[in-house]
Amino acid sequence: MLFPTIRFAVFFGAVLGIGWLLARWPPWWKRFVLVASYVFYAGWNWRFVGLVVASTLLNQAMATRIHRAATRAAAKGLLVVAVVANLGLLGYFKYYGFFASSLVNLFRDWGIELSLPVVQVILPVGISFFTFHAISYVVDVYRGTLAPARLIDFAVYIAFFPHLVAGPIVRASELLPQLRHRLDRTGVETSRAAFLIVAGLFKKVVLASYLSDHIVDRVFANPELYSAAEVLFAVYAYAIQIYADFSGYTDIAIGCALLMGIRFPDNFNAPYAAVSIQDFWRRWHMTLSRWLRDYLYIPLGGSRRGRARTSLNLVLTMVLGGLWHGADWRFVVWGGLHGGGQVVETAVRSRRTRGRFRRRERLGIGTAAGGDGGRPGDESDSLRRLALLNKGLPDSMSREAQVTVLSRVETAARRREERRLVRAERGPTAAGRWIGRIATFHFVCLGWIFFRAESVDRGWDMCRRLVDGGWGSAPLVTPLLVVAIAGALVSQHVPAVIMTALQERFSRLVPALQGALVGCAFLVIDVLGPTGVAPFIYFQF
Amino acid sequence: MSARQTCAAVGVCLLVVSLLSAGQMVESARRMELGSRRDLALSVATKFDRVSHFLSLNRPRDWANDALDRDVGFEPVVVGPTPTIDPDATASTSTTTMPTPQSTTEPTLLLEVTTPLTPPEREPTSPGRGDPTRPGTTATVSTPPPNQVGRRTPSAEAPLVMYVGGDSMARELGESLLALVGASGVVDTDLEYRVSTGLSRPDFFDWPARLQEEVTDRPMEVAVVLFGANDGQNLEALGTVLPFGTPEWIAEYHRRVAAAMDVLYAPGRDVVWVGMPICRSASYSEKLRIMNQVYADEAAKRPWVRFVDTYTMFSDTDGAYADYLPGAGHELTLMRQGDGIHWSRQGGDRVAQAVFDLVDATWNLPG
Repeated sequence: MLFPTIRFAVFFGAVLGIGWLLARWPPWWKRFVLVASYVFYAGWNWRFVGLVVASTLLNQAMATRIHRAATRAAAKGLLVVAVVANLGLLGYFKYYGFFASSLVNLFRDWGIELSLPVVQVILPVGISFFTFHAISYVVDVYRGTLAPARLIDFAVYIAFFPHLVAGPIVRASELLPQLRHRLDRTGVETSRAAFLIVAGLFKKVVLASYLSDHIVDRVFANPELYSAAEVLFAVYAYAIQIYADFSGYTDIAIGCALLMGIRFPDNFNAPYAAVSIQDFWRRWHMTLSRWLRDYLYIPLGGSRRGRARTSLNLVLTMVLGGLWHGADWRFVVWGGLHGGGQVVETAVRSRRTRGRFRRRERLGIGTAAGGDGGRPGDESDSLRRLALLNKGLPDSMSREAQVTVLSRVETAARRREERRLVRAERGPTAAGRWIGRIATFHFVCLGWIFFRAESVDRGWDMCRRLVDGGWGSAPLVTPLLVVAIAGALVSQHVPAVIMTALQERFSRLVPALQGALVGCAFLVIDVLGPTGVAPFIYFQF
Repeated sequence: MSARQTCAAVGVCLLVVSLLSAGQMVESARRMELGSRRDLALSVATKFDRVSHFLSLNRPRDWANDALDRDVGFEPVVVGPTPTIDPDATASTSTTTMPTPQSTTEPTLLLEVTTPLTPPEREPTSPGRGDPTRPGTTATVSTPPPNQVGRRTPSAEAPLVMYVGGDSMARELGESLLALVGASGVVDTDLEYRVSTGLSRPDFFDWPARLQEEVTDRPMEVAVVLFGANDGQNLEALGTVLPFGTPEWIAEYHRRVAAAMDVLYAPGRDVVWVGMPICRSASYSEKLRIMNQVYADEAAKRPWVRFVDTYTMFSDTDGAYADYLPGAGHELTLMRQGDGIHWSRQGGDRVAQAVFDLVDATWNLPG
């Protein structure tokens, strides 16, 4: 059941109305929402509802046992079983075909015929998301940051339909407390929800569909048939398409949950305004980033085990994050690029920090040797340095004159150092930030090439085409395409305060007028969009 | 805002959008599979449409459609026009990135063609039916060189005009075919695929009419078409619903397939009708098998149509469905997408190669 369809509108309207009617009786509300969520999921494939139920029962049982375990070792053993079971389930559905075929081909190369059933297992939609939800729950219970929830609460947490199929990856600690209390029937954030849903629909139905149909699909399918300019714009367009598609989905999900009185965390924060790769990951798919940080990067040792291990952990986390999207080398390349990029950034940043520290030391700022804020060294020290460093002063110069010259040179050097330090500690200039933004955007685009291409080889074909594709003819690069891409990029820099002010004004309107305006906005989106809407990109993950 | 006000706002929103888009709702209901659910949806949508017209609330949408030059109910879903090639740039990469007929080692025994590969004798070109703006077209038909089995040799100056059309299955086929022939610069390919369409529901999308437009607007020398993925449903003919698979259904489907093939007829034009492959669902595959038989039978009656059987091409050695099949180097290759229906790129490459071989045998494509 896709969000931008009449079917979902009818379903959601009914669930919303009945849900609020039952909100006075939380147990009934939960039962109703759970059944509605299973109905929603059955809309994709009813056979897999049993899988969601099984995952819920298994993880609840394991979390309860972990909580009651007599010893820490026993709890850890149970945690390992739970995590392995979850990853095993995910691995079977997502990676079995890839690994089985690779194994058969490998053995065939060695002259051995392996009789292994090689099938492409039907992927239950949303399995990556509800598996990550479940893992975070059992890990939090193991860590003691969360007590096991009641089964009905946990079942609603796993299956709650707005986030079931494509996130955001909501933590148990964020959703379960909201389920324990009666919903607030007086403070529904309707205006914010309306803005999110309209924006999400526009991004998905109009922007993502247009970019996909106009340039992305055809150029990525056969890059060798297009000029370098078209390939370049196809890459830009895909960067916007995947953002519009995925952030559009999560906007609608967050908006629907808000209308039902449930708050989800944000998942995107203007990612193409990022000034560095690390900054990008603080803004892109934020709930996956923090999941990977808390349940993978930190358990691997994070940044606590030296520079080399930190780099390894970063790359491992990003590569595994890439593989989470699917079993394909292109996702490994994508994750490796982002991991490697962050390692380089960390190294550069660390070098700059060390440079600043040395400057501070030289200037005597904040160090034991120069705690008074930068007293010049004593005369003998200056002379010693003069003897070491300065061979250019004439021998005829008196000792006093040499000291004076040295003092002036040192003062000038010190001022230069101070200016550099101030600049460094102030952070990058506006120009520097823009250079960072542009460089980061292009680095991210490079990653998207491999993410979107049909294979790593096709990704290289795209890159090669950018170099030798010729820049003369580019009929696909229309003014509308340029405006769509530029508009999407500019929108990343719209201050949040403007949107807040608009929401505030909207919220002052009477509810009927609000509804009518949103209805008109839907009409505009429907008219501007294509007849059919493709599934969201992240449904395949 | 309170929950009550929220529900009221959402209710008003749904009502407004239903009235403003009632025409679209009717269209959506029409697209549903024939049956009671469709009847119900159509009945509700029609009532909204009546109210919408009564209140003139259909006007904004109509104005918008007029402004955007859109034809409701006949709107392109996905259309992929011919890519534009920079010949200089292409030349540098085509040898390294493009598979060529000579280099591929795809097992040709998988290709089963129900009609002879050598094109049958065509009707003589009648004066005026040939396209005088396309040098060589009529000349080669009237005096076929023996080694080129009756066709001219396409060149960069006078490329072979090929049209690839059909439902969503045509996408992978078309993209792979574009890769095979596109960069050669001697085939001008137009790819058009429309999701959720077929020959079963002309009320939703009338493919014969569309093909008629296509042959009128842009005369092609080779038409590659593919239908069937959405045709395993009841048909409506003269106000009667014909249940799938009944003799009446088969007779009506024969008639529609024949009509589509006849629309594509022109002297000197080849039509390649690509059948549907076996799919993961056994019941769905059975429907496709019935439809493939119709395509094969109708193709056999028409010398200008050649049918490519992909059903067996994508079956394993036991004749069953398989996601993975031996590829060019006999390594297991994923041939299908996750839905068990559409081809993967490699699957598309395989069927495209089969089509290419047919076209090449007739037109002697260079390279």
